[in-house]
Amino acid sequence: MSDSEDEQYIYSDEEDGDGDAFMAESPSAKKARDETHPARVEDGAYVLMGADDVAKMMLAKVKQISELLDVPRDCAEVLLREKGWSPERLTEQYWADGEKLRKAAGLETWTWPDGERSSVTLPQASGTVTCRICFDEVPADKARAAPCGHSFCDECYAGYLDNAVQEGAGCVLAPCPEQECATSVPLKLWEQLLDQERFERLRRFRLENFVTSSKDLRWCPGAGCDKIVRSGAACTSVKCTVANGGCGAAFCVRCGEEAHQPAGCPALAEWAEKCQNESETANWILANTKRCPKCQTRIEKNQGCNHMSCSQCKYEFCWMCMGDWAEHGATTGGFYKCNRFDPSKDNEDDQSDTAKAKRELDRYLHYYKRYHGHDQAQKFATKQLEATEKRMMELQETTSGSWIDVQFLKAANEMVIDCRRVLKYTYVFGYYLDPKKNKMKELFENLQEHLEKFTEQLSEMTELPVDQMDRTEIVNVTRVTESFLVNLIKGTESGLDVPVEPPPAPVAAAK
Amino acid sequence: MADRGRLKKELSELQKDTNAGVTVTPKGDQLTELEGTITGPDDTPYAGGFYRISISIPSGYPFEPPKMKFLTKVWHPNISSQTGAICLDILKDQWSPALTIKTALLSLQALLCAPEPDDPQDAQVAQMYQRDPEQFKQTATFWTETYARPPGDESDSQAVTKLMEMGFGRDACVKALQDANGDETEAINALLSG
Ligand SMILES: [Zn+2]
Ligand SMILES: [Zn+2]
Ligand SMILES: [Zn+2]
Ligand SMILES: [Zn+2]
Ligand SMILES: [Zn+2]
Ligand SMILES: [Zn+2]
Repeated sequence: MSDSEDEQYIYSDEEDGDGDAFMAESPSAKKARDETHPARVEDGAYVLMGADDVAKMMLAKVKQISELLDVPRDCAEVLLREKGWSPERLTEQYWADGEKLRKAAGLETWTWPDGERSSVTLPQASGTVTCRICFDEVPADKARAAPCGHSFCDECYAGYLDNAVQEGAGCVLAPCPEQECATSVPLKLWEQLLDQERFERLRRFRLENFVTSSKDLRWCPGAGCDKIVRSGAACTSVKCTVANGGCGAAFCVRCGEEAHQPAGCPALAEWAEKCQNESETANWILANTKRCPKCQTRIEKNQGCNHMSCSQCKYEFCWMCMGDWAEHGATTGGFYKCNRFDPSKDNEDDQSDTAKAKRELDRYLHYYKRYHGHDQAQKFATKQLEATEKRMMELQETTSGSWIDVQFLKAANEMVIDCRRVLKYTYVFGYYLDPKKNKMKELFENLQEHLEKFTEQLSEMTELPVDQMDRTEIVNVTRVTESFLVNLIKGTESGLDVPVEPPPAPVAAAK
Repeated sequence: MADRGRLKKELSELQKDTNAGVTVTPKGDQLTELEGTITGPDDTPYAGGFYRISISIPSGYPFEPPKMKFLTKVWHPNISSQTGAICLDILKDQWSPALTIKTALLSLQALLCAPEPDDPQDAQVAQMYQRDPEQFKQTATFWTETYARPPGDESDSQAVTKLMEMGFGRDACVKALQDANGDETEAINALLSG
C-alpha cells in the first residue's frame, strides 16, 4: 500500500498486490507496528499514541475482519462501525445471523465477486437516468448509485455527500439519498465524489468514530492536542506527557475529566452536580470571606501558597481556613489541622430540620472551600509554569550553572501542580467518605494533612526570589513529596485498609 | 443540479398540477420564502379548513429540509397551538433530498388525518386528545370553523350560529366562544352570567 493510500485509508484494488504493507509485511515493519500498537495493553498501563498510529490500528482491525468474514474491507469497516468496533461482538452476531446484521448495517444490497478484498461492486446503469434529486435526465455515465441502484446525477450525489460531511461526525453513517433507503454509501463513492479537503474530513470522522467507540481509546482533552491514549482495563488517571510529544494534560480515561484521584468517577460526577446546585451559596461565602480575618482588608491572593500575610496589618494566616498561620507551622509544635472538618463546633443536640440543614451545608462548605482553594492554587501554579522558564534563565545566570542544573525548578513547579490537583480531589474523596468509618477517615486525613504540608512547603520554596533559593533543598522536597503523593493515591485506592507507609521524616521548613 | 433550478422545476410542476389539494406561491423573487396551502382532509375535524403554511428554503436545499410552520391556527397534538411549529420526522432527521415541497405538504395533510400524540408538539392539545376525544373534536372543529376559513367565506361557524339562535348578539357569541376555546356550554354560561 502506498503512502497516500495509507493516509487516506482507501481500499483500492491494487492494494492486494505485493506493495501492500499489511499483506506482505517485512519482519522489521511488523516489529515497528507491534511497538506502536501492541495487541494488548497491560491492565493498569497505558500508551500515548499519535493519530496516525491509531489509524493504522483501525485499518489493521478492518483487514482482520475482512479476512475472517470473507468480505471486502469497505464492508468490514461498516460492519465494525455497526458493532461499536468490537470484533468479538461482530463475529458472534455475524455467524449467528449474518443476514440480519447486514440488513441493520445497510449492507443488504451490497455484492462483490468471490474473494474480492478491497471494495463492493457499484451498479452501472445504461442509456439515460432521471436524477431523483434535480429531476434532470442525464446520460448513465454521469450518474451514480449505491448498490441499492438508486441513481442520482454526479452533481446531486456530490452535493448530498458534501452536505453530510459539513453536518459533522454523523456523516459516516449517511445512507443513500433516496427516501427511506438505508443502504450504506460505499467508501468508493465518497472517494469519487468528494474533493480532497472534504474527503480528508471524512477520513478524520472515520477515525473519530473508531476512537470514540473503542473502550480502550480516548482522545486527550487538552486544547488542540491530537494524542490518543490507549489504556488497560484497570487504568484510570493518565498523563499526556510532554516528553512523549503530548500537551501535559492529566486526565481520567474513564470519564474524560481532569485526573481526579483519589476520588472515583461517580463521586466526581456527584460532586460536580452538588457544586452546581450549591454554587450560589458557595460563591456568596467565598466572595465574603476573602478579607483579612484581623483587619478586614480585602485580600487578593497573588501567590499559589496558602500562607498569607496581610499587607495592612501584617497578620499571617491560612487562606484555606482563615486561621492563624502560627498554629499551622511545624516549628510552633502545632499541627496542620485545617483539612479536618470538626462537627463539634456545631451544636449537635439541635435536631431541628433547620439545624440539620445548616450542619449539612457547613459540612459541604468546609470541603468546598478547600477544594476551591486548591483549585485556584493549581491554576496559579499552572500559570506560574510559564514564568518558570524565565526564572530558570535568571537562576542560570546568577549561579553560572548549566540549563540542566536549573531543571529542578521546573520539576518542582510541576510537582506542585500535581499535588494541588490531587489535593483538590482529596476533598471530594473526603466528602463522600463514610463518617462512621472513623479509623479510615483518621488515616486519610492524616495523609491529606501531610501532603498539604509538603505542598505548601514546596510551593513557598519555588516562589522565593532566585537569590534565596536552595537547590538541594528543593530537589529533596520534590522527591519526598512525589513519593508521598504516590503513596497517598495507592493507599486510598486500595481502600485504606492496608497500612500506608508512614510519612517520611519532616524536612526542614522553608525560610 | 442542486441549486434553485430544482426548486423552480418543483414550482412549475405544482403550477400544472391542480388536483393535488396543495398550492405553493413564492413570496418575492429570491425563492427563499414561500407560502403553501393545504385543505383539511375529509372525515376529520379539519374538513373544510384551509391552511396557510410558511415555507423557508435553506441554502442547503434540497439536502437540508425546508422549514415549515402553520400560519393558520390549528388544534392538533403535533402542531403548536401558539406558534404553528410542526413536529414531523421528515421535516427533521428523516428528510431525504428525494422528497419535495409537494410531498412534504402532502405529509402535513396526512398528519392532520393521523395525529401522533406520543410525540407531541403541544402537550396541552395532546393531553386533551388522549383524555377527552369528544372535547378534542369539538375544539378542533371550532378552530377549523373560526380560524381556517377558505378565502372569501364569510359565513359564521356552526357554533356561532347556534348561540345566535338563542338570542345573543353575533359579536358577543364570537367572543364568548373564543374565550371558551370552542366549548359551547362554557360559552353559554358566560353569556348568561355576563
Ligand atoms: Zn441531479
Ligand atoms: Zn438507495
Ligand atoms: Zn494532550
Ligand atoms: Zn473519571
Ligand atoms: Zn489585616
Ligand atoms: Zn489552615
